[in-house]
Amino acid sequence: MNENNLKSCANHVRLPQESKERIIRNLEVMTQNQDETEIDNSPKRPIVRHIMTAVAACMVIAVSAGGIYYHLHGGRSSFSPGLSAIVQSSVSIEDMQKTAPDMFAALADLQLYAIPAYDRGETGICPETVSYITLTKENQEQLAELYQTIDFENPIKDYNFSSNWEDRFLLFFQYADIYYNVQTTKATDGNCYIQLMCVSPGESRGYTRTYQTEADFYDKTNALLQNPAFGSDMNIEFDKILYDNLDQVLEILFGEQNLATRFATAIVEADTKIGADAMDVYFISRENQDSAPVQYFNMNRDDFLNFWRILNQAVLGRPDLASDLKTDFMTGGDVEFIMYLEDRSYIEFWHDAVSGQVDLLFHDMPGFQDMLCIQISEEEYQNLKNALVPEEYFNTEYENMNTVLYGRIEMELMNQMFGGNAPDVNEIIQKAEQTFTNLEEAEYYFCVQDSDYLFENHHKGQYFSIPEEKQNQLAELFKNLDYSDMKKNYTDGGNIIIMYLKDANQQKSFVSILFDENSDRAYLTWHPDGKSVGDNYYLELDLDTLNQIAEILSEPEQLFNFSTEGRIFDVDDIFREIPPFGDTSRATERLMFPAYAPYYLIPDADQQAQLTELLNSQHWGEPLRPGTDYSKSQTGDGECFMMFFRMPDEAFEIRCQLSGYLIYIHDGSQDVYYNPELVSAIQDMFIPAKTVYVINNDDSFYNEPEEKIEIDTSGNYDLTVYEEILNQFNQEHGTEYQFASKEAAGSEEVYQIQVSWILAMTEDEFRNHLEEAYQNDLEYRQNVYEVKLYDTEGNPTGAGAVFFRNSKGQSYGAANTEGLRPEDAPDLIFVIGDHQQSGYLLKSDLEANQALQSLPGKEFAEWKASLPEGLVLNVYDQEGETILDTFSTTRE
Amino acid sequence: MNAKDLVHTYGDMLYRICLMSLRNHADAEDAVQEVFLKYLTRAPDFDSPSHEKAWLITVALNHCRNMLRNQRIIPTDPELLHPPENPPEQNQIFDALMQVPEPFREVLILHYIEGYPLKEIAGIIGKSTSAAKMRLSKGKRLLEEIYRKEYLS
Repeated sequence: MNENNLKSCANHVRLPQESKERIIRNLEVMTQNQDETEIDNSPKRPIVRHIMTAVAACMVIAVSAGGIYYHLHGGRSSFSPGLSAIVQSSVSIEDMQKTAPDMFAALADLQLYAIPAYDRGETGICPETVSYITLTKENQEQLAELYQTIDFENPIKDYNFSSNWEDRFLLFFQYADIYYNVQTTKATDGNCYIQLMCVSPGESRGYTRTYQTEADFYDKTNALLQNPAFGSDMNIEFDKILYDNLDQVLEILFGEQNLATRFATAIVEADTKIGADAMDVYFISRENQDSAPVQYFNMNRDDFLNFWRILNQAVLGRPDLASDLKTDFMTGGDVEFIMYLEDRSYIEFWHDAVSGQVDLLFHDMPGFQDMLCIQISEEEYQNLKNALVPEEYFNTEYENMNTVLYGRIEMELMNQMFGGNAPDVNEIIQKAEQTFTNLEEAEYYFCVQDSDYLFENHHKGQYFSIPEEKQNQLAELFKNLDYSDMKKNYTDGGNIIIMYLKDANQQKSFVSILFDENSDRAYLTWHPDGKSVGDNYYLELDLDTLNQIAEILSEPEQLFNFSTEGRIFDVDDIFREIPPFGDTSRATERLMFPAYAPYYLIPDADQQAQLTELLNSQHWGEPLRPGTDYSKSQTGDGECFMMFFRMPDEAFEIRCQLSGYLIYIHDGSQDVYYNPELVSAIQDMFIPAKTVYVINNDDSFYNEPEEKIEIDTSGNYDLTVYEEILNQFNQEHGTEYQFASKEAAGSEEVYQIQVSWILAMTEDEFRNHLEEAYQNDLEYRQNVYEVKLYDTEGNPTGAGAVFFRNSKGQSYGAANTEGLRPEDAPDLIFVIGDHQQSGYLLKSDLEANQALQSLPGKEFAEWKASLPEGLVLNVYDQEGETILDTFSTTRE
Repeated sequence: MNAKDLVHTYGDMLYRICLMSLRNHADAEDAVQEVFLKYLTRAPDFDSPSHEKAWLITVALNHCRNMLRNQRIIPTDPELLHPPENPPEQNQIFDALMQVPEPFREVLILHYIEGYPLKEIAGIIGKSTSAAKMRLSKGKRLLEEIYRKEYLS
């Protein structure tokens, strides 16, 4: 790749002239705090753009859907800091209904834009661009006349066209400060509908109402719009992206009116949890975020409860919370702190220094799918801020909380598995000081683990020594490190270099220098017993020190070819022939895990004995030498099974690669063997292992904390490992397999465990401990995220699938969660009615008709066909009151 | 500096940075406007034009990060982002650059495209020079990997 091309590849990226002019205009308006009337309001600005602006800005979604068009005018500035008060008007559904007749009467005089008929269904293909037209006065008069015939008193509630239409046209106009979009649609059910949508630019709040009309109406109005004599082409072409997303944008805007209720419910639920002393939170302070580091902290119980009380007053204390909550967010400014709730929802505290406005943003999950905004007063904000009492700071400047949490969890697991009999940290610190302050007398050499960061001239895996002068420099550097802050068992980060030491007392140990690219932090880890499997003690290095180390190591004295000469320590011992291995059944701790599979396994004592026998029954022979097949073994990466052994007198690790290579890691060194039969036999050992820890890693998708579940598979079980997950280097598996993304997308079933009840330990990432409960096997296998947890008697613990509740307290929702049992279905079950109306069946109706044996899963039609014939049930709205449609199972 | 001078002096540069961060024309324009608004309402006194420029870049990068963090940014089709004057090979690099993860892309853009030395980049991204160097090194490697995979394999 040519560096000059890199330098010049973006030279031609320039802000378009028209955008510059617009930005200048807007900035001038904003800084002078002028009225909106002074914003560019020329006739060239089609009203549709403003509507799209409001839509796009309010939901901060699909901004590419808005293309560049929503930026072509000052409307965007209505949503900028300090300017949100410029335009303040809103309209309720009722107002809109009342206004509609007058509005259409006035249609002839409004500036009106239209998209003539287009179709998106089977009858045609969406054009690449769409032309908006303005209409002649005569044309508008005719349209107005037609629209006035509609009875706006009787809307159809909650009708959702989604994709059930074949043709429609759109009108855009402004009336009484409100922007309207009128969609006239020919639907696939043979009916025609008018959908009236409005948005108030100041609040970006909009409503929709749908009215059914005759097909004749559609034909007449459409004919008007189709007649070129009536319209003049504005020559405004909207790109296909906008066109395709128009519905989505509007749907998100108009279709989320339950969000306020949902969040209000969520807050109340959280409050209940706090009352039950079951809540824990985690904060990030981002105050002055332009320069200050991010700090994570939690609070002690009393402080938190005080904070929560204030928050509770500010939020729940409102007389009309639901109407105060908005689905939009317009304030600028910065996130000053974020409060993570244990269910992974979180609240951001935005403070706009310009307007002084403070908004709380409630997010129901990472990924920012939904959010809700509530404004609080400056005083409330200050009270909240004052109530924040950081108790535990950790990982300052550490931006990846997930990594922190995961690292802590993993560290705890590793400590559980390998720790327990390790020396006291203070002893190690003393030992470290002794070792590292006498490095001049030590004997050592190095091995490069990752050459990308610091060792451009070294190859990965290169062993080398350094000249005495450099050794003295290194000794001096190590002497000046502060070992008093050493901690136990570092588990994160990438290894850059390993330093093998034999100190003045002939004690062997090794040091890894690591760099964690997530946090840009470097560490030194020391394995004082010289065993790679076992406790390590770590120290954070500042990056300057890291670079100094790299500088010292940049000029090797002698390079070694990994093996013979490189093994300056106890060469004979290194090349001892194995077996025998010790009796691995004596191992106090044993852990096996396939490197790229999401679980750990722990064999029981019998299986350990079998494994010992297996390891010792094989002919291992001499390890492979450099320059032979060793180079093909992909020792560092690739699919493999890893086994860790920790016995009183020995600790080692064996990695088995499915290509047939085994890497035996012991005493800080590695030997590679080729023995496909043994690999295959060890692979089989994984199947009957006793305890499985499952880690679901969809980190690559949403950067969410990983969930880890322990499953006790005692009893009858069969654990099947699908080879697809292991495949990165196995040629038989064909192309590269993106495990993480497929796992996240749920497109691969990676394991099956057949037991009746599974001990599930959900990881509480905020409190960093495991919560124990049981999962139903069937549910577990279907979807670990959404199933319920049960107590030992099989009674639901209340965790798991959660449905929203209507004003009467009835649960409602789609009962298509995989593994959901009929008895756990919501009170109102989402279905599509006979006339394509979406709505809800009463669970009690299904029960009364003996039709609750199964639930509508992914295959709705299949489920419907499975129901008793002759069933005719009402389809209700979510309140279970208004009948929207019927649901019948009469078959011809 | 008034709005007009500001846009004419720094508009292209900030737009370039924001576009390459957000990968969407509309969002990039929006970000540029927000950064300038911050400048006009909240900017401190600057010692020099270079200080001013660095402040703008820092604010722009922070703003883009916030947008990426808090909004669902839908990247535009990469081809639509291509500068029309670019020869094909430069567009390939441009595309590859867009695929480099954010923290590394920032540093690559600042170093190779905006011509900043590592020390100043460190100031802009709020990290040490060593960290900037690390990111640049890793970023370059990632860029090469992506480029090789996309166009040379």
